[in-house]
Amino acid sequence: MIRLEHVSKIFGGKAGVHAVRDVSLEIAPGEIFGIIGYSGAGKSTLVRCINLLEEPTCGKVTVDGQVLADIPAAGEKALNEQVRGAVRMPQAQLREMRKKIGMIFQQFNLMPSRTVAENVAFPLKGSGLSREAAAAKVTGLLELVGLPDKAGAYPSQLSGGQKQRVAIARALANDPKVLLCDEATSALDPQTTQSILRLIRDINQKTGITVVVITHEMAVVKEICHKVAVMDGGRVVEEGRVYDVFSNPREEVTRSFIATTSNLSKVEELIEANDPMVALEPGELIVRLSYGRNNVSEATISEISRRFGVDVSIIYSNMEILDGAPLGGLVAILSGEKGREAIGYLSEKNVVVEVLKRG
Amino acid sequence: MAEFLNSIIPNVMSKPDLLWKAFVETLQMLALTAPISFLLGLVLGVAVVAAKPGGVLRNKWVYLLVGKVIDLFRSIPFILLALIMMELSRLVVGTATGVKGAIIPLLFGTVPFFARQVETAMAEVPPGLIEAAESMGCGPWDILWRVYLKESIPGIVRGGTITLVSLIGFTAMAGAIGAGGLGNFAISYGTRHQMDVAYVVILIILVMVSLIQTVGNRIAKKATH
Repeated sequence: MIRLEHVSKIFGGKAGVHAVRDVSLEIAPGEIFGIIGYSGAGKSTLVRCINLLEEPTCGKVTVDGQVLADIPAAGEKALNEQVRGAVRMPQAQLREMRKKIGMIFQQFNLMPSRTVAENVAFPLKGSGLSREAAAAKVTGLLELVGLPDKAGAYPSQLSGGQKQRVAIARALANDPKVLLCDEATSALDPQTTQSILRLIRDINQKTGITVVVITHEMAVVKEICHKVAVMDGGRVVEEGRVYDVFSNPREEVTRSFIATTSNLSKVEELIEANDPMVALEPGELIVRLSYGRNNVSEATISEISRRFGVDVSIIYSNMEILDGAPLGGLVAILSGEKGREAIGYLSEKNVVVEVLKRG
Repeated sequence: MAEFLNSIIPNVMSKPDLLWKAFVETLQMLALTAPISFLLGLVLGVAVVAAKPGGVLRNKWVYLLVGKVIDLFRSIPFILLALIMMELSRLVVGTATGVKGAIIPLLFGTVPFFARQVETAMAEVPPGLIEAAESMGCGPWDILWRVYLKESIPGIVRGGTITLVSLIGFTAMAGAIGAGGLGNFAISYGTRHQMDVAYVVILIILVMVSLIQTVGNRIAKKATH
Protein backbone atom coordinates (compact mmCIF):
# COMPACT_ATOMS: atom_id res chain seq x y z
CA MET A 1 0.00 0.00 0.00
CA ILE A 2 2.80 2.37 0.95
CA ARG A 3 6.30 2.07 -0.40
CA LEU A 4 9.14 4.38 0.53
CA GLU A 5 12.39 3.91 -1.36
CA HIS A 6 15.58 5.59 -0.21
CA VAL A 7 13.70 8.58 1.15
CA SER A 8 15.79 11.39 2.63
CA LYS A 9 14.78 14.80 3.87
CA ILE A 10 17.19 17.63 4.58
CA PHE A 11 15.87 20.86 6.04
CA GLY A 12 17.45 24.21 5.35
CA GLY A 13 20.00 23.84 2.58
CA LYS A 14 23.28 22.03 2.26
CA ALA A 15 24.41 22.27 5.85
CA GLY A 16 20.89 21.73 7.09
CA VAL A 17 19.32 19.18 9.37
CA HIS A 18 19.27 15.68 7.99
CA ALA A 19 15.87 14.68 9.41
CA VAL A 20 15.38 11.48 7.43
CA ARG A 21 18.25 9.44 6.02
CA ASP A 22 17.77 6.91 3.28
CA VAL A 23 14.64 5.21 4.63
CA SER A 24 13.05 2.37 2.70
CA LEU A 25 9.84 0.83 4.01
CA GLU A 26 7.10 -1.31 2.59
CA ILE A 27 3.74 -1.24 4.34
CA ALA A 28 1.24 -3.89 3.27
CA PRO A 29 -2.49 -3.23 2.82
CA GLY A 30 -4.49 -3.64 6.03
CA GLU A 31 -1.42 -3.55 8.21
CA ILE A 32 -1.01 -1.44 11.36
CA PHE A 33 2.57 -0.30 11.07
CA GLY A 34 4.31 1.43 13.97
CA ILE A 35 7.21 3.83 13.62
CA ILE A 36 8.81 4.43 16.99
CA GLY A 37 11.62 6.76 17.93
CA TYR A 38 12.63 9.42 20.42
CA SER A 39 11.80 13.02 19.62
CA GLY A 40 14.09 14.24 16.89
CA ALA A 41 14.45 10.77 15.39
CA GLY A 42 12.74 11.98 12.21
CA LYS A 43 9.55 9.97 12.47
CA SER A 44 7.14 12.90 12.13
CA THR A 45 9.02 14.13 9.08
CA LEU A 46 8.98 10.63 7.62
CA VAL A 47 5.22 10.26 7.99
CA ARG A 48 4.75 13.65 6.29
CA CYS A 49 6.73 12.33 3.36
CA ILE A 50 3.97 9.76 2.82
CA ASN A 51 1.29 12.38 2.03
CA LEU A 52 3.90 14.86 0.83
CA LEU A 53 3.19 17.49 3.46
CA GLU A 54 6.97 17.36 3.34
CA GLU A 55 8.51 16.72 -0.03
CA PRO A 56 11.47 14.37 0.29
CA THR A 57 14.81 15.82 -0.73
CA CYS A 58 15.32 12.60 -2.60
CA GLY A 59 13.68 9.21 -2.81
CA LYS A 60 10.52 7.66 -4.13
CA VAL A 61 7.10 7.65 -2.48
CA THR A 62 4.41 5.31 -3.77
CA VAL A 63 0.95 5.04 -2.23
CA ASP A 64 -1.67 2.64 -3.53
CA GLY A 65 0.30 2.07 -6.71
CA GLN A 66 0.60 5.77 -7.53
CA VAL A 67 3.92 7.57 -7.48
CA LEU A 68 3.57 10.77 -5.44
CA ALA A 69 7.18 11.79 -5.86
CA ASP A 70 10.28 10.26 -7.34
CA ILE A 71 13.25 12.48 -6.84
CA PRO A 72 16.63 11.05 -7.76
CA ALA A 73 19.53 11.63 -5.45
CA ALA A 74 21.89 13.99 -7.20
CA GLY A 75 24.42 14.84 -4.55
CA GLU A 76 24.37 18.54 -3.87
CA LYS A 77 22.04 19.12 -6.78
CA ALA A 78 19.33 17.33 -4.83
CA LEU A 79 18.76 20.60 -3.02
CA ASN A 80 18.08 22.33 -6.28
CA GLU A 81 14.52 22.37 -7.55
CA GLN A 82 15.68 21.44 -11.04
CA VAL A 83 16.94 17.93 -10.47
CA ARG A 84 16.79 16.08 -13.74
CA GLY A 85 14.30 13.25 -13.86
CA ALA A 86 12.40 14.33 -10.75
CA VAL A 87 8.78 13.22 -10.91
CA ARG A 88 6.14 14.97 -8.87
CA MET A 89 2.44 14.29 -8.94
CA PRO A 90 0.65 17.43 -10.18
CA GLN A 91 -0.85 19.52 -7.34
CA ALA A 92 -4.49 18.90 -8.27
CA GLN A 93 -3.93 15.16 -8.46
CA LEU A 94 -1.94 15.21 -5.22
CA ARG A 95 -4.86 16.90 -3.46
CA GLU A 96 -7.21 14.17 -4.66
CA MET A 97 -4.67 11.60 -3.49
CA ARG A 98 -4.52 13.19 -0.03
CA LYS A 99 -8.25 12.67 0.35
CA LYS A 100 -7.45 8.97 0.28
CA ILE A 101 -4.82 9.39 3.01
CA GLY A 102 -6.41 10.46 6.28
CA MET A 103 -4.24 11.97 9.00
CA ILE A 104 -4.68 12.63 12.71
CA PHE A 105 -2.42 14.68 14.93
CA GLN A 106 -1.19 14.96 18.50
CA GLN A 107 -2.95 18.32 18.93
CA PHE A 108 -6.13 17.09 17.17
CA ASN A 109 -6.23 20.20 14.93
CA LEU A 110 -9.98 20.54 14.90
CA MET A 111 -11.38 23.83 13.60
CA PRO A 112 -12.50 25.65 16.77
CA SER A 113 -15.11 27.79 15.02
CA ARG A 114 -16.91 24.78 13.57
CA THR A 115 -19.12 22.29 15.35
CA VAL A 116 -18.23 18.62 15.56
CA ALA A 117 -20.50 17.83 12.60
CA GLU A 118 -19.05 20.71 10.57
CA ASN A 119 -15.54 19.51 11.34
CA VAL A 120 -16.32 16.00 10.15
CA ALA A 121 -18.02 17.41 7.04
CA PHE A 122 -15.06 19.72 6.32
CA PRO A 123 -13.20 17.37 3.93
CA LEU A 124 -16.46 16.41 2.15
CA LYS A 125 -16.62 19.71 0.27
CA GLY A 126 -16.18 19.00 -3.41
CA SER A 127 -16.80 15.29 -2.94
CA GLY A 128 -19.99 15.53 -5.00
CA LEU A 129 -22.16 14.25 -2.17
CA SER A 130 -25.60 15.84 -1.83
CA ARG A 131 -26.35 17.74 1.36
CA GLU A 132 -28.41 14.82 2.66
CA ALA A 133 -25.80 12.23 1.73
CA ALA A 134 -23.09 14.29 3.43
CA ALA A 135 -25.20 14.66 6.58
CA ALA A 136 -25.86 10.93 6.64
CA LYS A 137 -22.15 10.28 6.18
CA VAL A 138 -21.31 12.56 9.13
CA THR A 139 -23.91 10.85 11.34
CA GLY A 140 -22.51 7.44 10.43
CA LEU A 141 -18.95 8.53 11.17
CA LEU A 142 -19.90 10.02 14.53
CA GLU A 143 -21.60 6.76 15.43
CA LEU A 144 -18.51 4.84 14.37
CA VAL A 145 -16.33 6.84 16.76
CA GLY A 146 -18.91 6.70 19.55
CA LEU A 147 -19.98 10.34 19.61
CA PRO A 148 -23.44 10.38 18.00
CA ASP A 149 -24.74 12.93 20.51
CA LYS A 150 -21.96 15.49 20.06
CA ALA A 151 -22.75 16.66 16.52
CA GLY A 152 -23.72 20.17 17.61
CA ALA A 153 -20.97 20.65 20.17
CA TYR A 154 -17.91 22.83 19.59
CA PRO A 155 -14.42 21.34 20.02
CA SER A 156 -13.79 23.51 23.09
CA GLN A 157 -16.60 21.64 24.84
CA LEU A 158 -14.96 18.24 24.33
CA SER A 159 -12.34 16.30 26.28
CA GLY A 160 -9.04 15.35 24.65
CA GLY A 161 -10.19 11.83 23.88
CA GLN A 162 -13.43 13.08 22.35
CA LYS A 163 -11.50 15.58 20.23
CA GLN A 164 -9.31 12.79 18.87
CA ARG A 165 -12.42 10.74 18.09
CA VAL A 166 -13.82 13.64 16.09
CA ALA A 167 -10.46 13.98 14.32
CA ILE A 168 -10.58 10.28 13.44
CA ALA A 169 -14.11 10.68 12.06
CA ARG A 170 -12.93 13.65 9.99
CA ALA A 171 -9.90 11.73 8.71
CA LEU A 172 -12.17 8.90 7.59
CA ALA A 173 -14.72 11.14 5.84
CA ASN A 174 -13.46 10.43 2.33
CA ASP A 175 -13.12 6.67 2.92
CA PRO A 176 -9.33 6.77 2.81
CA LYS A 177 -7.19 3.72 2.20
CA VAL A 178 -4.52 4.90 4.61
CA LEU A 179 -4.70 6.50 8.06
CA LEU A 180 -1.60 8.31 9.32
CA CYS A 181 -1.47 8.83 13.08
CA ASP A 182 1.16 11.34 14.18
CA GLU A 183 1.60 10.90 17.94
CA ALA A 184 -2.17 10.67 18.08
CA THR A 185 -2.28 9.55 21.71
CA SER A 186 0.66 11.48 23.12
CA ALA A 187 -1.52 14.24 24.56
CA LEU A 188 -3.91 11.79 26.20
CA ASP A 189 -3.93 10.01 29.56
CA PRO A 190 -3.23 6.25 29.61
CA GLN A 191 -6.88 5.20 29.82
CA THR A 192 -7.99 7.47 26.99
CA THR A 193 -4.97 6.30 24.99
CA GLN A 194 -6.21 2.73 25.38
CA SER A 195 -9.68 3.59 24.16
CA ILE A 196 -8.41 5.53 21.14
CA LEU A 197 -6.03 2.70 20.22
CA ARG A 198 -8.87 0.21 20.50
CA LEU A 199 -10.98 2.40 18.22
CA ILE A 200 -8.18 2.55 15.63
CA ARG A 201 -7.77 -1.22 15.80
CA ASP A 202 -11.52 -1.77 15.40
CA ILE A 203 -11.63 0.51 12.37
CA ASN A 204 -8.62 -1.32 10.92
CA GLN A 205 -10.35 -4.65 11.36
CA LYS A 206 -13.70 -3.43 10.06
CA THR A 207 -12.52 -1.54 7.01
CA GLY A 208 -9.12 -3.04 6.27
CA ILE A 209 -7.61 0.45 6.25
CA THR A 210 -3.82 0.60 6.36
CA VAL A 211 -2.65 2.43 9.47
CA VAL A 212 0.71 4.09 10.13
CA VAL A 213 1.27 4.91 13.80
CA ILE A 214 4.01 7.35 14.80
CA THR A 215 4.84 7.23 18.48
CA HIS A 216 7.52 7.49 21.11
CA GLU A 217 5.68 5.08 23.39
CA MET A 218 6.42 1.38 23.16
CA ALA A 219 3.10 0.69 24.90
CA VAL A 220 1.29 2.03 21.82
CA VAL A 221 3.22 -0.24 19.47
CA LYS A 222 2.63 -3.17 21.78
CA GLU A 223 -1.08 -2.46 21.92
CA ILE A 224 -2.00 -2.31 18.25
CA CYS A 225 0.85 -2.67 15.78
CA HIS A 226 1.55 -5.70 13.64
CA LYS A 227 4.91 -4.47 12.46
CA VAL A 228 7.27 -1.86 13.77
CA ALA A 229 10.20 0.19 12.54
CA VAL A 230 12.54 1.72 15.08
CA MET A 231 14.00 5.08 14.07
CA ASP A 232 17.11 6.71 15.42
CA GLY A 233 18.98 9.67 13.98
CA GLY A 234 16.79 9.75 10.87
CA ARG A 235 17.38 6.11 10.00
CA VAL A 236 15.29 3.00 10.41
CA VAL A 237 17.64 0.90 12.55
CA GLU A 238 15.42 -2.10 13.07
CA GLU A 239 12.24 -3.35 11.49
CA GLY A 240 10.05 -6.39 11.62
CA ARG A 241 7.05 -8.04 13.22
CA VAL A 242 6.42 -6.54 16.65
CA TYR A 243 6.90 -9.88 18.35
CA ASP A 244 10.22 -10.57 16.69
CA VAL A 245 11.58 -7.12 17.43
CA PHE A 246 10.46 -7.33 21.05
CA SER A 247 11.68 -10.82 21.71
CA ASN A 248 14.99 -10.35 19.99
CA PRO A 249 16.01 -6.69 19.87
CA ARG A 250 19.29 -6.09 18.10
CA GLU A 251 19.81 -2.38 18.60
CA GLU A 252 20.51 -0.49 21.79
CA VAL A 253 17.74 2.02 21.06
CA THR A 254 15.22 -0.81 20.64
CA ARG A 255 16.26 -2.28 23.97
CA SER A 256 15.85 1.06 25.65
CA PHE A 257 12.29 1.31 24.29
CA ILE A 258 11.48 -2.17 25.49
CA ALA A 259 12.89 -1.32 28.90
CA THR A 260 10.33 1.47 29.22
CA THR A 261 7.46 -0.98 29.15
CA SER A 262 8.87 -3.72 31.33
CA ASN A 263 10.31 -3.65 34.82
CA LEU A 264 12.92 -6.27 33.98
CA SER A 265 15.50 -3.56 33.51
CA LYS A 266 14.92 -1.98 36.91
CA VAL A 267 17.21 -4.53 38.51
CA GLU A 268 20.16 -2.70 36.98
CA GLU A 269 19.22 0.37 38.97
CA LEU A 270 19.02 -1.74 42.12
CA ILE A 271 22.43 -3.26 41.45
CA GLU A 272 23.93 0.13 40.85
CA ALA A 273 22.42 1.45 44.09
CA ASN A 274 23.69 -1.64 45.98
CA ASP A 275 20.19 -2.37 47.17
CA PRO A 276 20.02 -5.09 49.89
CA MET A 277 17.51 -6.90 47.70
CA VAL A 278 20.29 -7.75 45.27
CA ALA A 279 23.08 -8.37 47.79
CA LEU A 280 24.71 -11.70 46.95
CA GLU A 281 26.47 -14.47 48.87
CA PRO A 282 29.60 -15.88 47.24
CA GLY A 283 28.67 -18.17 44.37
CA GLU A 284 25.32 -16.62 43.75
CA LEU A 285 24.38 -15.03 40.42
CA ILE A 286 21.76 -12.52 39.34
CA VAL A 287 20.41 -13.50 35.96
CA ARG A 288 17.80 -12.11 33.60
CA LEU A 289 15.92 -14.71 31.59
CA SER A 290 13.91 -13.82 28.50
CA TYR A 291 11.41 -16.25 27.08
CA GLY A 292 9.94 -16.43 23.64
CA ARG A 293 6.79 -17.96 22.29
CA ASN A 294 8.29 -21.47 22.14
CA ASN A 295 9.37 -21.91 25.71
CA VAL A 296 7.22 -19.59 27.80
CA SER A 297 4.92 -22.39 28.80
CA GLU A 298 7.66 -24.80 29.83
CA ALA A 299 8.49 -25.24 33.48
CA THR A 300 12.16 -24.36 33.01
CA ILE A 301 12.62 -22.96 36.50
CA SER A 302 11.40 -26.08 38.28
CA GLU A 303 13.42 -28.07 35.80
CA ILE A 304 16.75 -26.43 36.69
CA SER A 305 15.99 -26.60 40.38
CA ARG A 306 15.45 -30.31 40.14
CA ARG A 307 18.22 -31.17 37.72
CA PHE A 308 21.00 -28.99 39.01
CA GLY A 309 19.97 -28.43 42.60
CA VAL A 310 20.02 -24.64 42.26
CA ASP A 311 17.76 -22.39 44.27
CA VAL A 312 16.00 -19.76 42.21
CA SER A 313 14.64 -16.76 44.03
CA ILE A 314 12.67 -14.55 41.72
CA ILE A 315 13.05 -10.79 42.07
CA TYR A 316 10.84 -9.69 39.17
CA SER A 317 8.89 -11.44 36.53
CA ASN A 318 6.94 -10.11 33.62
CA MET A 319 4.69 -11.60 31.03
CA GLU A 320 3.05 -9.97 28.04
CA ILE A 321 0.89 -10.94 25.14
CA LEU A 322 2.26 -9.38 21.98
CA ASP A 323 0.54 -9.65 18.64
CA GLY A 324 -1.28 -12.68 20.06
CA ALA A 325 1.81 -14.47 21.35
CA PRO A 326 3.23 -14.55 24.87
CA LEU A 327 6.54 -12.93 25.71
CA GLY A 328 7.97 -13.06 29.18
CA GLY A 329 11.02 -12.80 31.36
CA LEU A 330 12.22 -12.81 34.89
CA VAL A 331 15.09 -11.63 37.02
CA ALA A 332 16.24 -14.07 39.67
CA ILE A 333 19.10 -14.93 42.02
CA LEU A 334 20.57 -18.36 41.36
CA SER A 335 22.41 -20.07 44.16
CA GLY A 336 23.96 -23.50 44.09
CA GLU A 337 27.08 -25.35 42.89
CA LYS A 338 25.83 -25.98 39.37
CA GLY A 339 24.76 -22.49 38.37
CA ARG A 340 26.86 -22.61 35.22
CA GLU A 341 25.34 -25.88 34.10
CA ALA A 342 21.86 -24.57 34.81
CA ILE A 343 22.53 -21.58 32.55
CA GLY A 344 23.83 -23.85 29.85
CA TYR A 345 20.65 -25.88 30.03
CA LEU A 346 18.47 -22.78 29.78
CA SER A 347 20.38 -21.58 26.73
CA GLU A 348 19.78 -24.93 25.12
CA LYS A 349 16.06 -24.36 25.66
CA ASN A 350 16.40 -21.05 23.79
CA VAL A 351 15.93 -18.95 26.88
CA VAL A 352 18.10 -15.85 26.60
CA VAL A 353 20.21 -15.61 29.75
CA GLU A 354 22.09 -12.51 30.87
CA VAL A 355 24.25 -12.67 33.99
CA LEU A 356 23.91 -9.26 35.63
CA LYS A 357 26.01 -9.73 38.78
CA ARG A 358 28.18 -12.39 40.38
CA GLY A 359 28.54 -12.81 44.14
CA MET B 1 -34.77 71.67 30.59
CA ALA B 2 -34.06 73.97 27.66
CA GLU B 3 -33.30 76.72 30.11
CA PHE B 4 -30.85 74.53 31.96
CA LEU B 5 -29.07 73.56 28.72
CA ASN B 6 -29.02 77.20 27.64
CA SER B 7 -27.23 78.08 30.82
CA ILE B 8 -24.53 75.36 30.66
CA ILE B 9 -23.96 75.00 26.88
CA PRO B 10 -25.14 78.33 25.47
CA ASN B 11 -22.98 78.21 22.36
CA VAL B 12 -24.29 74.78 21.35
CA MET B 13 -27.91 75.71 21.99
CA SER B 14 -27.52 78.76 19.77
CA LYS B 15 -26.70 76.59 16.70
CA PRO B 16 -28.28 73.11 17.05
CA ASP B 17 -28.76 72.84 13.28
CA LEU B 18 -25.02 73.24 12.71
CA LEU B 19 -24.26 70.55 15.29
CA TRP B 20 -26.74 68.22 13.63
CA LYS B 21 -25.24 68.91 10.21
CA ALA B 22 -21.74 68.22 11.54
CA PHE B 23 -22.92 64.98 13.15
CA VAL B 24 -24.49 63.80 9.89
CA GLU B 25 -21.30 64.66 8.00
CA THR B 26 -19.26 62.56 10.40
CA LEU B 27 -21.67 59.65 9.96
CA GLN B 28 -21.43 60.07 6.17
CA MET B 29 -17.63 59.93 6.30
CA LEU B 30 -17.80 56.77 8.40
CA ALA B 31 -20.46 55.16 6.23
CA LEU B 32 -18.52 55.82 3.01
CA THR B 33 -15.07 54.94 4.26
CA ALA B 34 -15.65 52.02 6.62
CA PRO B 35 -17.02 49.44 4.13
CA ILE B 36 -14.41 50.24 1.47
CA SER B 37 -11.62 50.13 4.07
CA PHE B 38 -12.94 46.85 5.37
CA LEU B 39 -12.81 45.23 1.95
CA LEU B 40 -9.47 46.68 0.85
CA GLY B 41 -7.87 46.03 4.24
CA LEU B 42 -9.11 42.46 4.19
CA VAL B 43 -7.69 41.85 0.71
CA LEU B 44 -4.30 43.35 1.61
CA GLY B 45 -4.16 41.53 4.96
CA VAL B 46 -4.97 38.21 3.31
CA ALA B 47 -2.43 38.94 0.57
CA VAL B 48 0.33 39.46 3.13
CA VAL B 49 -0.56 36.26 5.02
CA ALA B 50 -0.84 34.21 1.83
CA ALA B 51 2.37 35.56 0.30
CA LYS B 52 4.58 35.47 3.40
CA PRO B 53 7.46 32.97 3.47
CA GLY B 54 5.94 29.56 4.14
CA GLY B 55 2.45 30.88 3.33
CA VAL B 56 -0.03 29.00 1.17
CA LEU B 57 0.70 31.19 -1.88
CA ARG B 58 4.19 32.23 -0.93
CA ASN B 59 5.58 34.99 -3.11
CA LYS B 60 8.53 37.02 -1.94
CA TRP B 61 7.83 40.02 -4.18
CA VAL B 62 4.14 40.41 -3.35
CA TYR B 63 4.99 40.02 0.33
CA LEU B 64 7.72 42.67 0.25
CA LEU B 65 5.77 45.10 -1.93
CA VAL B 66 2.47 44.96 -0.03
CA GLY B 67 4.25 44.97 3.32
CA LYS B 68 6.35 48.02 2.45
CA VAL B 69 3.40 49.97 1.06
CA ILE B 70 1.41 49.27 4.22
CA ASP B 71 4.34 50.35 6.40
CA LEU B 72 4.89 53.49 4.37
CA PHE B 73 1.34 54.80 4.81
CA ARG B 74 1.19 53.63 8.41
CA SER B 75 4.25 55.68 9.27
CA ILE B 76 2.88 59.01 8.00
CA PRO B 77 0.96 60.91 10.70
CA PHE B 78 -2.62 61.25 9.52
CA ILE B 79 -2.72 65.02 9.58
CA LEU B 80 0.20 65.12 7.10
CA LEU B 81 -1.23 62.24 5.07
CA ALA B 82 -4.46 64.23 4.69
CA LEU B 83 -2.46 67.22 3.44
CA ILE B 84 -0.44 65.35 0.84
CA MET B 85 -3.52 63.44 -0.35
CA MET B 86 -5.30 66.64 -1.36
CA GLU B 87 -3.97 66.54 -4.92
CA LEU B 88 -4.91 62.90 -5.39
CA SER B 89 -8.34 63.60 -3.96
CA ARG B 90 -8.91 66.40 -6.49
CA LEU B 91 -7.82 64.01 -9.23
CA VAL B 92 -10.02 61.08 -8.16
CA VAL B 93 -13.18 62.58 -6.66
CA GLY B 94 -12.83 66.12 -8.01
CA THR B 95 -12.49 67.93 -4.70
CA ALA B 96 -10.28 68.03 -1.63
CA THR B 97 -12.85 69.47 0.74
CA GLY B 98 -16.12 68.41 2.28
CA VAL B 99 -17.21 64.89 2.98
CA LYS B 100 -16.35 63.81 -0.55
CA GLY B 101 -12.86 65.26 -0.31
CA ALA B 102 -12.22 63.41 2.93
CA ILE B 103 -12.72 59.92 1.56
CA ILE B 104 -9.36 59.45 -0.16
CA PRO B 105 -7.22 60.54 2.81
CA LEU B 106 -9.41 58.56 5.19
CA LEU B 107 -8.97 55.43 3.06
CA PHE B 108 -5.20 55.87 2.96
CA GLY B 109 -5.20 56.26 6.71
CA THR B 110 -7.48 53.34 7.49
CA VAL B 111 -6.78 50.60 4.94
CA PRO B 112 -3.14 49.93 5.93
CA PHE B 113 -4.11 50.04 9.59
CA PHE B 114 -6.88 47.49 9.12
CA ALA B 115 -4.71 45.33 6.84
CA ARG B 116 -2.24 44.90 9.71
CA GLN B 117 -5.11 44.10 12.08
CA VAL B 118 -6.31 41.40 9.69
CA GLU B 119 -2.79 40.04 9.34
CA THR B 120 -2.39 39.86 13.13
CA ALA B 121 -5.74 38.11 13.54
CA MET B 122 -4.87 35.56 10.86
CA ALA B 123 -1.40 34.96 12.27
CA GLU B 124 -3.09 33.60 15.39
CA VAL B 125 -4.62 30.68 13.51
CA PRO B 126 -2.57 27.67 14.73
CA PRO B 127 -0.30 26.26 11.98
CA GLY B 128 -1.62 22.80 12.86
CA LEU B 129 -5.02 23.75 11.40
CA ILE B 130 -3.38 24.70 8.11
CA GLU B 131 -1.45 21.44 8.06
CA ALA B 132 -4.62 19.48 8.80
CA ALA B 133 -6.45 21.23 5.96
CA GLU B 134 -3.54 20.45 3.60
CA SER B 135 -3.62 16.81 4.68
CA MET B 136 -7.32 16.74 3.74
CA GLY B 137 -6.52 17.85 0.21
CA CYS B 138 -7.45 21.55 0.51
CA GLY B 139 -5.93 23.94 -2.00
CA PRO B 140 -4.51 27.38 -1.09
CA TRP B 141 -7.73 29.33 -1.75
CA ASP B 142 -9.75 26.81 0.23
CA ILE B 143 -7.32 27.18 3.11
CA LEU B 144 -7.43 30.99 3.01
CA TRP B 145 -11.20 31.09 2.90
CA ARG B 146 -12.33 28.07 4.92
CA VAL B 147 -9.59 28.00 7.54
CA TYR B 148 -7.71 31.30 7.85
CA LEU B 149 -10.66 33.67 7.44
CA LYS B 150 -13.25 31.49 9.10
CA GLU B 151 -11.08 30.88 12.16
CA SER B 152 -9.99 34.49 12.54
CA ILE B 153 -13.46 36.06 12.46
CA PRO B 154 -13.36 37.06 16.16
CA GLY B 155 -9.91 38.60 15.72
CA ILE B 156 -10.96 40.42 12.56
CA VAL B 157 -14.06 41.78 14.31
CA ARG B 158 -11.88 43.05 17.18
CA GLY B 159 -9.43 44.59 14.70
CA GLY B 160 -12.35 46.13 12.81
CA THR B 161 -13.65 47.70 16.01
CA ILE B 162 -10.27 49.25 16.78
CA THR B 163 -10.02 50.47 13.20
CA LEU B 164 -13.48 52.05 13.30
CA VAL B 165 -12.62 53.87 16.51
CA SER B 166 -9.42 55.21 15.01
CA LEU B 167 -11.37 56.15 11.87
CA ILE B 168 -13.58 58.41 14.00
CA GLY B 169 -10.41 60.09 15.19
CA PHE B 170 -9.27 60.52 11.59
CA THR B 171 -12.58 62.12 10.57
CA ALA B 172 -12.13 64.70 13.32
CA MET B 173 -8.64 65.47 12.02
CA ALA B 174 -9.86 65.59 8.44
CA GLY B 175 -12.46 68.07 9.68
CA ALA B 176 -9.70 70.34 10.89
CA ILE B 177 -8.42 70.77 7.33
CA GLY B 178 -11.79 71.35 5.72
CA ALA B 179 -13.74 68.13 5.56
CA GLY B 180 -16.59 69.21 7.80
CA GLY B 181 -18.04 66.98 10.45
CA LEU B 182 -17.85 67.10 14.24
CA GLY B 183 -14.12 67.77 14.27
CA ASN B 184 -14.54 70.79 12.05
CA PHE B 185 -17.45 72.02 14.17
CA ALA B 186 -15.48 71.73 17.40
CA ILE B 187 -12.38 73.45 16.04
CA SER B 188 -14.35 76.22 14.33
CA TYR B 189 -16.10 77.31 17.51
CA GLY B 190 -14.14 75.74 20.33
CA THR B 191 -11.17 77.95 19.55
CA ARG B 192 -13.31 81.10 19.80
CA HIS B 193 -13.85 80.93 23.56
CA GLN B 194 -16.82 78.58 23.02
CA MET B 195 -15.30 75.65 24.86
CA ASP B 196 -18.73 74.16 25.58
CA VAL B 197 -18.90 73.29 21.85
CA ALA B 198 -15.73 71.24 22.15
CA TYR B 199 -16.98 69.47 25.26
CA VAL B 200 -20.27 68.51 23.65
CA VAL B 201 -18.48 67.18 20.55
CA ILE B 202 -16.15 65.15 22.76
CA LEU B 203 -19.16 63.76 24.59
CA ILE B 204 -20.87 62.76 21.35
CA ILE B 205 -17.72 61.06 20.06
CA LEU B 206 -17.28 59.31 23.41
CA VAL B 207 -20.79 57.88 23.14
CA MET B 208 -20.17 56.77 19.54
CA VAL B 209 -16.91 55.07 20.47
CA SER B 210 -18.42 53.25 23.45
CA LEU B 211 -21.30 52.11 21.31
CA ILE B 212 -18.98 50.74 18.61
CA GLN B 213 -16.75 49.08 21.17
CA THR B 214 -19.70 47.42 22.92
CA VAL B 215 -21.23 46.12 19.71
CA GLY B 216 -17.80 44.96 18.46
CA ASN B 217 -17.05 43.10 21.68
CA ARG B 218 -20.42 41.44 21.59
CA ILE B 219 -20.05 40.22 18.00
CA ALA B 220 -16.51 39.00 18.69
CA LYS B 221 -17.70 37.12 21.74
CA LYS B 222 -20.52 35.53 19.83
CA ALA B 223 -18.15 34.38 17.09
CA THR B 224 -15.78 32.76 19.60
CA HIS B 225 -16.48 29.13 20.45
